Amino acid sequence: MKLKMAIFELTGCGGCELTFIMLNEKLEDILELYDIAHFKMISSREDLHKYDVAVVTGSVSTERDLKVLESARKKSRILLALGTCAVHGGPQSLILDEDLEGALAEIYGKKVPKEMKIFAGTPISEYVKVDVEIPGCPPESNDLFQALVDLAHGVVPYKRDYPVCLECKINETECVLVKRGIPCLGPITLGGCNAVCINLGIGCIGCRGPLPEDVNIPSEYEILKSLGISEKTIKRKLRMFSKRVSLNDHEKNLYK
Amino acid sequence: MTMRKISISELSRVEGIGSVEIFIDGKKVRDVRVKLIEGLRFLELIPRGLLYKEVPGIVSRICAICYASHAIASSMALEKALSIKVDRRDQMLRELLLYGELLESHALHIYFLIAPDIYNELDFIELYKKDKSLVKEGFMLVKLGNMLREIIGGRPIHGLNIIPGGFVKRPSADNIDKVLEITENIIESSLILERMLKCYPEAGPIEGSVAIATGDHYLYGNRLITSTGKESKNYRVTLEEQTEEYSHAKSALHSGRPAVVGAISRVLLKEKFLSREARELLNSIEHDQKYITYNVICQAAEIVEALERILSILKELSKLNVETHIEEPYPKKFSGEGFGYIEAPRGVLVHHYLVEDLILSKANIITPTAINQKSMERAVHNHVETMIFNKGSLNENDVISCAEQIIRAFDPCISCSVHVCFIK
Repeated sequence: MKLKMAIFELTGCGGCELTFIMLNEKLEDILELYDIAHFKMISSREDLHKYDVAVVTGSVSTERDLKVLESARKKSRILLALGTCAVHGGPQSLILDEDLEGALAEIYGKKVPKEMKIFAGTPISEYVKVDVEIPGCPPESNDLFQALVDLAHGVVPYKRDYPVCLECKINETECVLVKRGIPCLGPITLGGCNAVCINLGIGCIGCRGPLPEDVNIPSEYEILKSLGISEKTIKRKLRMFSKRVSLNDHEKNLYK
Repeated sequence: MTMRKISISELSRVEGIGSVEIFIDGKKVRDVRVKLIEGLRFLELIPRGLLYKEVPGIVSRICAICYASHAIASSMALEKALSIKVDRRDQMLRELLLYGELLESHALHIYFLIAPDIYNELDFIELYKKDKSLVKEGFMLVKLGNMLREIIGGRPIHGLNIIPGGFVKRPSADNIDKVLEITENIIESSLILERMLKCYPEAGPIEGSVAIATGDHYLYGNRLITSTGKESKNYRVTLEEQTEEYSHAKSALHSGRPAVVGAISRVLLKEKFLSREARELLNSIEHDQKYITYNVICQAAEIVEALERILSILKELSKLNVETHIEEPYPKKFSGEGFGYIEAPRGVLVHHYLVEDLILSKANIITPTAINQKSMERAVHNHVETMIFNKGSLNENDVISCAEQIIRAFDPCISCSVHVCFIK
């Protein structure tokens, strides 16, 4: 019997959903294993009972997002966080709770929307238990494919734990940070993208979020500082995609 | 008589999170509210403080479906602010990339979101069981668009290759030849598109809305032109932004009237730019231009147009030596202000920046869906009122499915729309 999968969209750019569609021919294989019970962006079907796998994209940024997330958790056996926004909070998580009022005033002036409560962007794991995490902005479609196939066969999906740097070593790419003084977050960022941006000749901006453990933020901070970048800009760069990068002091007002 | 309220809590088969409320009082529609309620992503605030070159790669995160349009509009605004020149080959590559994105976005919309309406299915997965070739055609076109986004933009989604002055790296001659061959094959095969859209029903009257597009070129320009004949180099003359307490996106009006942007406005205002092939498709499908559903027909014509343009630009590029070393962008000024106007697949996109000492200090972005918001409400309003007039009584499910189809025809991108911000 096929498994039941639901895809829930919180606040994001649509890229994670697009990654799903961009499985192209492989989508047929996924549809052999799963029935899609709910996927608002591409489908009008409404099967809101129980799911084997719930895929959640985007950060929790509104009251509605939180309700959808909580209900997805309750109704599913396995909850998969797809993409950097769901796993790490995404760019929007640079604005913290204490910054929210000021940021909203800058956007809307005095007439702030009252339709629902607006939250600072938050990774979904701050609210519910997450079983599988596939970060990436966008996530790699092969990672998504492999995880869905694994889950259908009762296998725990492989979890990466190496930095982007390792991929530059494998590709025999000269280090842009050390040799050319180009700011690069490769040393602290989770690999899996085949160092795509460094292959172009630019530094990693950290869109896959930090390594799960043993990540040396202070050392990266010092290297960037030695390149003559201002402290404020460094902090903003480090926090650009992930709320999980802890800077300890003065995290407030990073957006200003 | 009491006021009746019909609501759609969450629109399906549109990009992002939106809801609709229709208030009916007897035979009159009192109010229609299209609420774009996706959470905020603050993408005008976040890139402030970054070096100008890093801005396009961050703001493009607004939307995955049209990331390259955002990155190019951003680059153009920065080029104006800092007097940065763009090489002719890079300009050609940008156009090629924009046509690739247009193809990807329109094909997603027509084959995956609209086609299920035409065949009365819930989604393309059901449609696939009935008509494999149609869905496969959609995948084929989306794939070509994404290949162009990959080889020119750096990745199919959120590539970092687009910077002020052009690109970090130009695509290899091998990649150009590979895509050229695929494009030729697609053009030789005949598309089902035209046949499918002959059965697409008219809905959602938008008379009274002002069509807005960029002037000068089909997909970009230095000024905004309108169906009222007014044109301006300053978007703040053309578009008046306003906040609605029920929506997270600011809406925009033109001289107090709702505005409409997208394929329909480009075709109405710039048909002379289109190829013979695209115009033939337009002429072969009878569909009244006063309905927003005509937008989908125009998108189909633009798919044909994109294929033709992609082919001709690729042919030209394959004769040039594209794969040469690129100089770092050279700003002649370190501070300044600039606008960038692009036709994103869904219509006029404005990026407006202030740069001080090569660092971005302020940004304002206006997206097509924010501009279309008021016309969406108007189209649903007029349509439902006509339904009451024709039928007398209203079935709630009919109203809901009609309203959804009308809003879908605008091809809204709600993710894009919730980032609108004023410079004070």
